[in-house]
Amino acid sequence: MNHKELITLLSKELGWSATETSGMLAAFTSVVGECLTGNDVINIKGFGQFGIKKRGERINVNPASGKRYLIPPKLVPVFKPGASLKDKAKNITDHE
Amino acid sequence: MNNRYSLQEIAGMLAKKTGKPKADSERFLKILFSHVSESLCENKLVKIKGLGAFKLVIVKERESINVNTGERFIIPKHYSFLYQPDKELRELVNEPFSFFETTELTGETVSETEKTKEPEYASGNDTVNEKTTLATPIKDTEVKEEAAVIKHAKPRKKNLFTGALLILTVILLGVFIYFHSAGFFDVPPVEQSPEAEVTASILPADTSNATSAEEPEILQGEDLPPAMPNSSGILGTDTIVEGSRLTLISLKYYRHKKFWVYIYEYNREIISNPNQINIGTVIKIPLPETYGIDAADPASVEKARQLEERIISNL
Repeated sequence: MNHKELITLLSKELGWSATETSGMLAAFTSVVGECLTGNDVINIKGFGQFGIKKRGERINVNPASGKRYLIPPKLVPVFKPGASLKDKAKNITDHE
Repeated sequence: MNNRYSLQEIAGMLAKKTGKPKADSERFLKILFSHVSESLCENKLVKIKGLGAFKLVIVKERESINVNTGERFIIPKHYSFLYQPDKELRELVNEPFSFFETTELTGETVSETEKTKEPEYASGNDTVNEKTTLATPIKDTEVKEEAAVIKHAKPRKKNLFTGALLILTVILLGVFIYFHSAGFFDVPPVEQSPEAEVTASILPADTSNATSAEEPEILQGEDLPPAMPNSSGILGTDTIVEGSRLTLISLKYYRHKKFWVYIYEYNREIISNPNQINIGTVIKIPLPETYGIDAADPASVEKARQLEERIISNL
């Protein structure tokens, strides 16, 4: 499901207009971004947890040329699914 | 810093941002997440702009072993979550580190670690050179070098960062040792195995027999007058000191290690066992002509080698 489909689905459910919903969603993502940049954790019950993690620097070697690169450390957003979401995934029976 | 926000708190922030009532934004979020998780299970993929993509990926069934009981069992096929953050979010979060850039590493870091290794290399080389010229036990060098390798290896292995460099240098050291030790093996040092020592301690009574049995044979073969122990036809004398080897003395006077046998032959009366010569013993070095010693002549070297084999088997 892509962004558009999600918005139409949400606006139908909420009874809001599509622009309203998309504005709300954009606001939500910016809030998430703010929280994460502040090194905070967002824990949503029944869904999961958003946070950030630091990836250490490392040396990468291009196997073709043999050149070595130093990849700098970086912060990446991570998502950890919650228990109920995992349960849902476990109960999926229609494989493929 | 390091706060944990719940859905309600996020809803509060959202309400502040959009100017909507808090109840509305909370409802919005609840519906959003229930929809996302539902459609995630249905479609295995949900993309939200600005946040990222949530995916469900199939993990194939695989065999595993229970660590406690050692039983084999099969982990069934299941789904695993994958979250791929949007580029925007990734850049936003990585802001504090964004000034870092991937840099190509030149030889600098290599030489940095190599530098610490260099003295070891040099000292290793020196000892080897001293060995061949100054007559110090050969085996010691090998041990020393190996110890050096181990010394190097241990602290560095911990450092994951220079792991690759370490392996490289260890390989280099290995090659280095290999070449040098290969050189050593070509020139067998006087054997100093404990066995030889044991037999030597038993032998003294037999030595005279061995000598008498062997001496004529050699002299016949070489067609030379019997060596006179006190003849003036000597090249010089050498005093046995700690670490002296007949081979090395031979190398010094005749430019070849194999001719130690002749020094031994010439000094039979003083030396009962070429592996154990008392320190302080003064040995005479025969003139090369006495035994037809010629380092440049392979036949002469071969003759010495055969004699060496006989002497060693007689010990």
